[in-house]
This record gives sequence, C-alpha cells and structure tokens, in this order.
Amino acid sequence: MKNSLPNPVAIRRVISPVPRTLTVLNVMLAFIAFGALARAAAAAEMIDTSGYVHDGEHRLIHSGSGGCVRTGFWTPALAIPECDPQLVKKVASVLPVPPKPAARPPAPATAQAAPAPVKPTFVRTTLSAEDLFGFNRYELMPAAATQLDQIAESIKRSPELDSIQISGYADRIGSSSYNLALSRLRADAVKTYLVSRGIDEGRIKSVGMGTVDPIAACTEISGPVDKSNERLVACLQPNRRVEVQAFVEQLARH
Amino acid sequence: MKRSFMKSWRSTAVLGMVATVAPAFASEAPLPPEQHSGAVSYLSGGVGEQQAKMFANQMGKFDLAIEVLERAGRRNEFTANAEVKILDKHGHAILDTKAAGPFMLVDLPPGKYSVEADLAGRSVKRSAIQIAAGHHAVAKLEFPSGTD
Repeated sequence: MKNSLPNPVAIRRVISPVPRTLTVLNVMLAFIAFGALARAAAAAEMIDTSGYVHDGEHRLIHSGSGGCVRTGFWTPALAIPECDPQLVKKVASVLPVPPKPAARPPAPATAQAAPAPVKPTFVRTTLSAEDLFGFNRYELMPAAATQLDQIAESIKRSPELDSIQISGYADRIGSSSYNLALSRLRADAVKTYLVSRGIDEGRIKSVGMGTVDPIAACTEISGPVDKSNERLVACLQPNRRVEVQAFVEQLARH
Repeated sequence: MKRSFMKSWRSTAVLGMVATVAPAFASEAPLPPEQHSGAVSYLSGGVGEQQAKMFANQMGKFDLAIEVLERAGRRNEFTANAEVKILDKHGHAILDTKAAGPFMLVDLPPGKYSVEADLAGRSVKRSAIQIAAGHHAVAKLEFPSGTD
C-alpha cells in the first residue's frame, strides 16, 4: 500500500474503519448475496447497497468492530449513509414519498449512477391527516402504520439526519385556537408513534402550526365556513396534513 | 460501533412485532387526568371528535361544566387555550388555568361563583353561578365572532 499511487479510493480505504481482513463466512456471503438479491433489496428501498456485504435476507453484514463490510466491487459511488456517512452527500431519496409507493418505476439495475453531490438542508414528506387520523380526530388509525413505519425505518437507516420536525396543520374551518390545538395533538401523535418504533425521542420535535401555509385556498367555494359545507370540507382536504421534515447535518462527518 | 448492529437487530425485531402484536393505536381517546387546584378538581379538553363526545357525556357528573365557544355566524365554534378563571364571591380566583379545549368539568365546594375566560385579548364573564350539592351548573362562555 505504501508504494502504490495515492489514488482517492486507496486513501479512503485507509482512513475508513473497515477491517482489511474478512472472515471466510463473510466472503462466501458476499458472493452469494451480491448480485440479483442485493439489487432487489436495494431497489425496494431506493438505496443501492450493492457495494456492501449482505446476509441472505439483504441485511448488511457488520464486521467484528461494527463497520459495514465492503465488497470488492465497492467504489465511493456506492457509498450509503448507514455505512459511510462521510462519503454520502445526497440524502434526497432517504424519506419515502407516500402515499404512492406502487407508482415507483421498477428497479433500475443501473443504480450505480452516482448521485449528484448536492447539499440538502432537509428532506420533507407530507402525510394526509385524513389518512392518519380521519376528520377532526387525532388518534392514529391502524392504516397509518404502513406510512409511519416506512418513515421510522428511513430515519433509522439515516444516522446523518440530525433532527426530525413533525408539523401538524389544520384547515380554516373552526376557530384558530381550536385548530392550533388539534394540529398540535396530531403532530404529537405522530411523534409518539415514531418514538414507539425506536426513534430516539431527542431527535424528534413536534409542533402545531394551526391553519398557516394552506396548500389549497378554496376561495371560490361559496357557502358557510363550517363542516356542513361538504364542498369546502373536500376542497380543503390537502391542508389537513402532517409534514415530516428531516434536517441534515451540513458538515461532513469524520 | 456496536450500535449499528443493535440497530439492525432492533428494526428486525420491530418488524416481527408488527406482524404479531397490535400496534399501540388509541382506538378511543381517554379522558385527560383530573387536575387539582386547592379545593377545585377539574378536567380540561374536548379537542377532536372523540374527546368532545366524551366530555359532553360526562357533563352531568360534575358540579360545573364550562364551555368556551366562539360565535361564527349562527353557530358556535369550539375554542382551545383560553385562560379560564373561577372567582369566588369575594372575587378571588380559586382556579386560573389555560383550558386544553372547549370543555372544563369542575368539582368545587358549594357557593356562588363567577367564571371568566380570556382569549386573544378579549374577555367574557358569567356571574352568579350557584353551586349546590346534587345540582349541575353549566357556564357557557361565548366570544364574539372573529375573536381568534
């Protein structure tokens, strides 16, 4: 190593915590798991993990010292946040985009295209309050689990996400003070759920935003501003929402 | 570094649990805990359809039910976070608290009281509320339209 030319990959390998010796088992698993299985797993999560050694169920293998184990095919372009946060700058695909997971295009086998090195300040995803709670409620419905579990897993996979802010929003039907309280209870319910799914409570903040920043104005809908006005209630649906924002550390880690 | 192993182990365990154990969803909102201030005990809340119903159902079990509302056309809307005071016959506040929602259900010693609510710079008061054993009083405080 000392005599080789100092190309960037070699340098990164030297400073990386990955041990230079792999166990026989890991090497075998590397060859078994790498390829179609690894690609399928990576595609399902929108994160290409094919640069790392997996077990038979697509879980990343960790070495005795806890680091990920890179395959012989590893390049910096295949770095993922969980294993090499200092090499990953783009996390825009970290959070799932509910509610249409089925609409995702089939797995591109060429996931090796390196993500452009952008520097996001946060990633945001918006959830419909109707899907999570129903109208004028803040108790999570069982159907909310799928979306929230996806988000919980995304957060767990992404140690580079410093903090998560959950913001509840309400429509303009009803008094401002009531809507503020309802939107706060909804944000709190989402936070409580994510904490119950193993997210560190200190990473999550929940806030009630009330009726601010409406997505739909619905000024063209006539009639009373109350829940008897079904057209208005339906038009204002996008405003009844919970937004999850993930704030990403700006500085690279070492 | 052991953490990453623990994390992957834990998420696998969580996924397993989802399949077997019903997640902790609140199928019904419980009433909030009773709070105390001197000789007064009270429940405060009523935000959300379920809790509003539960409070409405419990009203007859308390000495005094306070509703804090805002006029909106020909209807009343629920409010939250109004500052609510219960004053004794000497004008001393025996309770001064921020309401969690439109309802407060209160038990307090017999006597004559007034109730005051403040919201967004406005104040509404109901006076001469008689509290007696076996009697259930209601104090409806209505803010004018556009208060908040």
